[in-house]
Amino acid sequence: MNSLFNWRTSSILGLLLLLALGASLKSCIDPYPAEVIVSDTKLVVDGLITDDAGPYTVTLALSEPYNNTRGTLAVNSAQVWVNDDTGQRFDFLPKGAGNYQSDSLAFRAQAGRIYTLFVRTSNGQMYESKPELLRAAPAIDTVYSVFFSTTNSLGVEVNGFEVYSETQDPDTLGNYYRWRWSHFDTVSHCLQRIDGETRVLFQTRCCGPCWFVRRCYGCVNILNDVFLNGNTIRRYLATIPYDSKEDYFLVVDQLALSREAHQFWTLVDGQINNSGGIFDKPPAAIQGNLFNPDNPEEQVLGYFSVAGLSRKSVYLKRDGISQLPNGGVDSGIIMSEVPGCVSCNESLTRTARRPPGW
Amino acid sequence: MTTSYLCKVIPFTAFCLLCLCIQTAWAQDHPLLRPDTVIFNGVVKSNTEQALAGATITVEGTNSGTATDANGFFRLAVPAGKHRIEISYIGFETGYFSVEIYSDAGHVFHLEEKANLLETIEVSEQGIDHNVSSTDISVSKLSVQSIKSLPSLLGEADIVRGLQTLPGVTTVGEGASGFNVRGGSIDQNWVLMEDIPIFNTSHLLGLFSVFHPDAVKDLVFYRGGIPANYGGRGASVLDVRLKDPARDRWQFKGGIGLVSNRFTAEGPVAGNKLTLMAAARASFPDYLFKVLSEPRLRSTNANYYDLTTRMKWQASEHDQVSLTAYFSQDAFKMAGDSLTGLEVNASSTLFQWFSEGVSLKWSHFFTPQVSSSIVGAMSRYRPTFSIPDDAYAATFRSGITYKALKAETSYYGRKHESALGISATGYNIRPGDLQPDSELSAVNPVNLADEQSLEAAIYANDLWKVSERLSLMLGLRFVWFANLGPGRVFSYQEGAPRDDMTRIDTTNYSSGNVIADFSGLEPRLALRYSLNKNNSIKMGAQRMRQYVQLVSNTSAALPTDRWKLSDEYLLPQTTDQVSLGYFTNLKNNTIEASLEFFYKRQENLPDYRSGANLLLLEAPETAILQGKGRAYGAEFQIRKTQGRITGWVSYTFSSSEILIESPYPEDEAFSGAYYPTNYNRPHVLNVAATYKQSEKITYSANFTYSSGRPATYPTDKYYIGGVYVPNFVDRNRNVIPDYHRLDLSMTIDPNPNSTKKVKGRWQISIYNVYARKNPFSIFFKTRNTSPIRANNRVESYRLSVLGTIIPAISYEFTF
Repeated sequence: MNSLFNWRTSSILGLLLLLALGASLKSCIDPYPAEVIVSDTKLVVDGLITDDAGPYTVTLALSEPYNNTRGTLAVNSAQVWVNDDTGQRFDFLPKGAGNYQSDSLAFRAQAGRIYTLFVRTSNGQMYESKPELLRAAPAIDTVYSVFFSTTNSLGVEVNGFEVYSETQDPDTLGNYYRWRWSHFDTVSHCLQRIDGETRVLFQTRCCGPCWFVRRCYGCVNILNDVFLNGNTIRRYLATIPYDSKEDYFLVVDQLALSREAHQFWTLVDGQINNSGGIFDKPPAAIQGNLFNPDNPEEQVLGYFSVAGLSRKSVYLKRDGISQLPNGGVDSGIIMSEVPGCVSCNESLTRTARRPPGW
Repeated sequence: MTTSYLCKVIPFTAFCLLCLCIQTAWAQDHPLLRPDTVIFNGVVKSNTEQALAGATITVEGTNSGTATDANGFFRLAVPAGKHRIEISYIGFETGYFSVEIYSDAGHVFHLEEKANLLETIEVSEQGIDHNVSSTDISVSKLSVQSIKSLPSLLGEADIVRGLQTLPGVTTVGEGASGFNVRGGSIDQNWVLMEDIPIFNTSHLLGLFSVFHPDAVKDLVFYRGGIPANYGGRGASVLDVRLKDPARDRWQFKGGIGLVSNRFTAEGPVAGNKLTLMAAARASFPDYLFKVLSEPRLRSTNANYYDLTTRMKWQASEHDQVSLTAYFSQDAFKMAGDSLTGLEVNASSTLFQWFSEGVSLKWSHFFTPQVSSSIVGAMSRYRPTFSIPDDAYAATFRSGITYKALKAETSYYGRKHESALGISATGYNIRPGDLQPDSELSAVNPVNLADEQSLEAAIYANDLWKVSERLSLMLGLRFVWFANLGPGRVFSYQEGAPRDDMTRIDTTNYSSGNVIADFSGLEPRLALRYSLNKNNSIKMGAQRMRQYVQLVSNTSAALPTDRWKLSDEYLLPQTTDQVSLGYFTNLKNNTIEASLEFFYKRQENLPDYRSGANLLLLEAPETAILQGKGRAYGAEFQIRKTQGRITGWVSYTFSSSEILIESPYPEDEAFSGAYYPTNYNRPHVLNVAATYKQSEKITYSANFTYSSGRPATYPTDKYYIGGVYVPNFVDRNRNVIPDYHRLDLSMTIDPNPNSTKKVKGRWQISIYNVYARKNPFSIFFKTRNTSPIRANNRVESYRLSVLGTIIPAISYEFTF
């Protein structure tokens, strides 16, 4: 064996090591410009009514090319209404940007009722949903947080709180859940502008109460009870930062979906989190619950969901941790108060409406 | 004669009698029985007493020649007298013998194995003109040496990888388990190892196959022209044959690689009547996953081992008993529970899968021409996964068990090679059982009822050498299959898609009652017509029926995928295939070429409702749709079998499509028109070459090209509930980029002419030399992290599983 590698052995082994090293440095998931296929735009319906107080919103839009970054085309001037199983009709009024809103005084959905959505577009085309039964959602028993502190792969300490909810699943099989949460915190200044050179932050106060809103974007947190029926369901909801010892206000919604809505969200979840791997199901069209009665072949995208809602608002404690909260780095920014006030404009990240349970 | 026969055939019951009648009928007008002609028969063995199948026997000065059968036997009519015989076999020194032949007494010939391991790099172990002269159409025979000579991935000689260099064989991608043959799914391959069916051919998901390279003698791979002896799967038969244990002395062989270490011991136990071989492999590849591309795979632990044992007992001059046993285990742990479909928040999931199989075969030789065998075989495949977290601690178990008893009588004559057999097969499938593992676990137990079946088959196959020019293989197989109780069958509303909501009734069947039964004939035909010594035309036609299928809707099959028996809703798959080929040998049989065309039609192929979760699904008929398949193609191959440079080039053009016709709008996304199957790769080119520079050093190269497999790209996207969702419409209408790869290897035998007992050789191999990032898939992901909608883009990515250069070194030794 010693005669084996007397020729150029070391250089070959060296080369192999070099190659192996080079190999491990390369990433194997990389952006790849796939060809774009142009297709006809399709109607998209996004609606949710719950047994919580309204108003409820139905949004109509058109689908976009998959690589579009220029915003959505709203479908305005349509007629939108919901019928219940007693034949009552509830109209939704246009609010612009493709949004249609119910009258919260006239319409509050109830558990046990069946609702159907109807849409008539400005060109007279009719669309409708399959009838959806509103099922009451079981109450959320508790929402709690658990502190964690780990070191990530870069050697940096990462900490925070993992938030869980617990719910007693009813004994009957066939409960389908979706969770969502919102975090609110008061905002004192409704306008902020930083001068990059002088590092002066000019702030203007809000004219009235105003809250900052944080939600989980892109989260589809769903569960069906087929393997857990009748047991306590403990669900991970969110990770919140440890940047202060003050309480963290969180509103947790637990929605009781229909079987079909759960299936819809399962498919959405699978497709938006697809990693193209060996274990992924090949993507396919997701069937919603809307259709064109005159042309059943037409693909109508989206879902009209009817769900029971139970809500829990909590102040999650963040004191009692021995180590100090993160942050507090002096950024060297000088605050400067601008006189006057600015109104709190409703947006996805800001609201002037008092959060439930605040 | 008849009396003595009868005494011997009592254990073989009536069907043997039938065979006898056939033999007697032939005997009456047998041209061989002319007085000046004698039957020269015998057996060819290696110097270690291994029977050599496919050795070529030529009688000098005559035009007579033949090849040995699976047991090393041959039979040839020659004029009585003294003859000089030449016997050649790949990897062995050609033997020249002088024999006096005046009676049909048997002769035993021994061939010397060529002196060193490296000599045996030829790609075929058949007779030199086998390509043209045999009736085999769409059949490949590979010796394990030819597979070992190919460059390997991480130093592991792999049989399924070797198979993928043959025409008509493709795979979904690197890391995918199994292989696809002529547009068939992976469960359409009947993979046998000494009569033990292998339900999962893969270790480490799909990177390596379960066959121990040192235990395997050779493999016969039928993708057409399948004899009636085989049945039960639609696309192909892969018959992996193990070595007979050495008879003269104990021999040891081993290998050290980057992934696994292996060791084989074989030798006589009691005299040379009873011999034994045990081959074991164990892996330690945890570190390997660190270089893999998929992040989920990087935090993975994986290990496997397997043990292949074979015992052969020469009970008498006429009786041979062999016992084969096989065990393998894989463990695979990965973060998260995303694969399980349980929707619980698990920190990790441990997958394990176990294969166990045993076969016992008794062969009895009445005469050198007539033999019978009885085989009992059992095979079991058991995948599991478990979740460790207290709150959801649970274990899932499933499995498939196969039990079969087969009896066959074969006749091996000059004009006819016939087989007649019966078999009874039982399946027991455990579709899924989920049990909580701790008192605290919130998981409820779910146990799906077992499925069981009984299958009875009778078959006859005859290879008839009509004339020098024409030979015919005629086969017929009849199978009766019954899905048996206990079990229950749901019925559904007419005119509505089958699902839980449209279920209207349940019928219970008690133990042993027939839930559904099917039967049918499977004709098999192959024909060879020689235009002259070097050119022939061959034709094949066959029908295959399949009564058990793998239920899987992921890109590549998972080890935990469930097997399902045919029932009232999931009808048996039927595959009809015709093939036509032209075969030619050039330059004194040193170059073989073939061109084959095939067309295939399939009934009851499955596809799955969008996004169906198949795990622990009580009624799979609610998720599976059945449709038609069609596939066609042309396969071209040219091989050079001798000289310093040997190897082959193969090119395949093929198309494989499926049609689902569902009247329901939820299935409209893919129903109503033919679309390409997941594994449809129209163009595949393989080049494998070996250059023997000297006795010490051999180089080999392997290049593979295939056009991209189908995928579905989104046409548009929409925004709902805070997320952008890409909209995928036409199934498999797009194609991912092409795949191509070059592998190189160098094998070094430091002392090729050493007379020492211990011999070793090194192999240095480089996989994916030019580090191409071959795509496994192109996938689309939405960034949904911003409250500003326009910032949330749908982006496309390429995933490559082994998208880099992978060098490896391995060492192999014998003593």
